[in-house]
Amino acid sequence: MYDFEDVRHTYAGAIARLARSYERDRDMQKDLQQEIWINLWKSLPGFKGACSMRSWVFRIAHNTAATHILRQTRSRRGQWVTIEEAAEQAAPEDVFEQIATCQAREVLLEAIRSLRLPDRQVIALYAEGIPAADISEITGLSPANISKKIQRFKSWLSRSKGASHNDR
Amino acid sequence: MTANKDPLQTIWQDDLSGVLVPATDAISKALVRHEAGQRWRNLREYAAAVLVVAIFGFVGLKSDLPAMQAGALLVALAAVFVATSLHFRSRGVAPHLDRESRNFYAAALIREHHMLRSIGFWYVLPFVPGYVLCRYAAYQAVPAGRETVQIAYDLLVLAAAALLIFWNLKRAAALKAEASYVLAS
Repeated sequence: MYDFEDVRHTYAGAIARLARSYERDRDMQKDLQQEIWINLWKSLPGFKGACSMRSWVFRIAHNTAATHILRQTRSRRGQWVTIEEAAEQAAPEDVFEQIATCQAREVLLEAIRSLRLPDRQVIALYAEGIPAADISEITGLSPANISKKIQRFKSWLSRSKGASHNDR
Repeated sequence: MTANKDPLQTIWQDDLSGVLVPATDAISKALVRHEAGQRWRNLREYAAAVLVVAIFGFVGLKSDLPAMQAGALLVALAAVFVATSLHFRSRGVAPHLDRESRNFYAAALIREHHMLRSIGFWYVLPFVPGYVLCRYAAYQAVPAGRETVQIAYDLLVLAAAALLIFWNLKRAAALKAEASYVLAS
């Protein structure tokens, strides 16, 4: 049997970051985290190890977050863009340039929050350090498609600095 | 490994603010949600019982067929029995346990499990005598050779009852698994 406390200790930070990437309001972030933890807790007895624990946790977390955000902000859906649409717009600010500042995190968060749900899910998972193969398992998108989305997102972020950032 | 990390990942993963400690909160919140879900379900069932009593009371009074009158009365009584039964089955869980404890939540889940597991007996079965009588009366009133629609209707009701029992058995099994997990963790 898997221990909920182990899951909690391992993924507490990641779940908090994920909640922030989906929800701007601090109180709502807390609610979303609660919702994710309850769903993980309720689903844990059914986890049979068919996939990795990490994939399972992130799949439930993202599904919960997607449901939450669609329920809360149906009217805001028009403000979100795909990575492809974002790439045609001006870059938010150069995140890589501000790497040592707290502002970088906020800029990155805002950039991720501006994306439509499937793209937001891919980028949030990538930022969490999940390999493309695992992101594919969680989202159902092909690894090639995922890599393309990640590249486009990174090049969008670093565009103001120029092509040199794409190589980082 | 860290040296090869994408700067984007570094920025992201270094952020440890706003982490929620969910252990106790999660239990009490899950319990509140569970109880709210039960209350809402009970309210729906009470409203449905009132509706059934009103409809079958009306049918019983208007019908000239004795079998239909008796059947409608039995269905109305069954609805009252089911609503009362639901009310008593849903009352207070383990008053000796601390509400905030895992055991209290597990007890609530186990009680719900027992209730759903036996739904065929206390929810479906009471309607059978009244339903059979009503249908008997309906068959009597149907002209010869026009029974096909009636048979199809009965099969549909039978399938719906089977589905209801099946779905609740599945839900009961899930509740039992969840309760076992809560108790063991």
